[in-house]
Amino acid sequence: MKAVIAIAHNTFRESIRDRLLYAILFFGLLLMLATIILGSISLEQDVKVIKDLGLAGIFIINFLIILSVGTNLVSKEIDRKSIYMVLTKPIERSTFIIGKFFGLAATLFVTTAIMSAVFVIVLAAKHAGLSPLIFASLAFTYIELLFLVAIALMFSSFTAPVASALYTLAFFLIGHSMTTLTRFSEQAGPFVRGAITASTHLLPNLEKFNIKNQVVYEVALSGPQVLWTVVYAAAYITVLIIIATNILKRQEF
Amino acid sequence: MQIALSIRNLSKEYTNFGGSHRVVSNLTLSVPRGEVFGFLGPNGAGKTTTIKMIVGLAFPTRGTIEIFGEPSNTRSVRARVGFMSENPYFYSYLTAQEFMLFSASLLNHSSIIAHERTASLLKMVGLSGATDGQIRTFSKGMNQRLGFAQALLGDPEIVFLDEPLDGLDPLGRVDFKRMIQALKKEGKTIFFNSHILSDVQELCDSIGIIHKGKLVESGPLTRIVKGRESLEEHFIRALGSKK
Repeated sequence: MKAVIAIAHNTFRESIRDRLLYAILFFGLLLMLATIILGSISLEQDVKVIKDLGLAGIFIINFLIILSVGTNLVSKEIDRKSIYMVLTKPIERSTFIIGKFFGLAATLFVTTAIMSAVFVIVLAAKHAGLSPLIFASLAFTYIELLFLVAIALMFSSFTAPVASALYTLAFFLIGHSMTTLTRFSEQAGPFVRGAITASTHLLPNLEKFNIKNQVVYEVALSGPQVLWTVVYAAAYITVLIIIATNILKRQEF
Repeated sequence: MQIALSIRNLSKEYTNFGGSHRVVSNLTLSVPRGEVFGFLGPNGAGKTTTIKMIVGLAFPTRGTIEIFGEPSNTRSVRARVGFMSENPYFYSYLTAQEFMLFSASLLNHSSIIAHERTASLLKMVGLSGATDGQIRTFSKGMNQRLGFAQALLGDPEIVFLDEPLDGLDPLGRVDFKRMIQALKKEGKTIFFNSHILSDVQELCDSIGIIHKGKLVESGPLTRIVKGRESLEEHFIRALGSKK
């Protein structure tokens, strides 16, 4: 456990000292402030626009951090050989993967918290009500980010950073197209329908974490919806970390 | 005489679309406890691959590696082993002290011991004035020193050093040789790869020469290099007869 915390702490410390992170975060904060301007040019829909763009902005900026930092998590260590020093210590390779996951998760928690704070200030300045749904949406956004960290980490354990970023992006796009795919399958032949149904069970359905419409139109979340989404994410992340660990266990350097 | 490292029939093959390529072939050697062992060979001979297999970074295709009588790939053995890779690279945004404390936490050291060992080792390798400098600002020699310090953090009984003298200036080499001799006095076993044969001759009790993955010869230095012959001359002669 101590080694997991050490690797997580080290990953967190390395990422928050990376200037690229600050550049992305700075852009994100500008985006949060820009929602005020974009909201003001809409026709009495400013709060709706701010909520919509603000929540989307928080996600996109953090996703960019995953694509730039997360997809390097293991491959950079292999390229630079810094992994040699870690794996020759008396730790399991799974410890390394789990530590890396929690390290980036901590970084994203901080960046999400900073951007969320600005978002909430902007909403408060517009005298918009801060419903619990906004905080639920931020929590769901963070869970989806954890999900994408696990995907990036898995790809990072066996591919180069660019390929890893592309695969993670592909999973993100597919994960948000599940509803469309399911609708499409209803009009397709039995073979295509079967293939799509199988893939929707296997591939991650990231739409489960998207409750932005519920926030904007103030539709309450149900207890089971929250519970099952959390369980779904936890189970999928666990599987992805197990896969990443098994890949790393077979890796030679 | 207790054996610190025992390698038996060790082979390593890499397979790709072009077929299989044997990098290490049927290597058998042993290193007694408390000795300094120099592992020599030309570029591509299989030295680094052998060290990587010993420390668990690569997996043998065949054969066994034991350290103090136990398989080398167990956590309990890794706790007794120190390793410094060739051209070590560390986390560039960390300071030397942060990196050492991070390494200590992987060894499950308590905070007090970690701080004590970090301070004494950084002093020993001549980095006590650079503890708060980020590693990205370090020269190659400083990285070598830091790599050496982290290898000794767990007070290992056996230390594997991959080209520790490579890229060091003359003063750095003198420092490293002094440190290796000090470790030997403490009873540590040291196994290192090097191209600098004069240093090997100065430091080592025994040597092994590997060529194209095969062990050409191994044993006490005094038995291998006789009379007025230097290790360099012997090395060239030994490899020349294998061409």
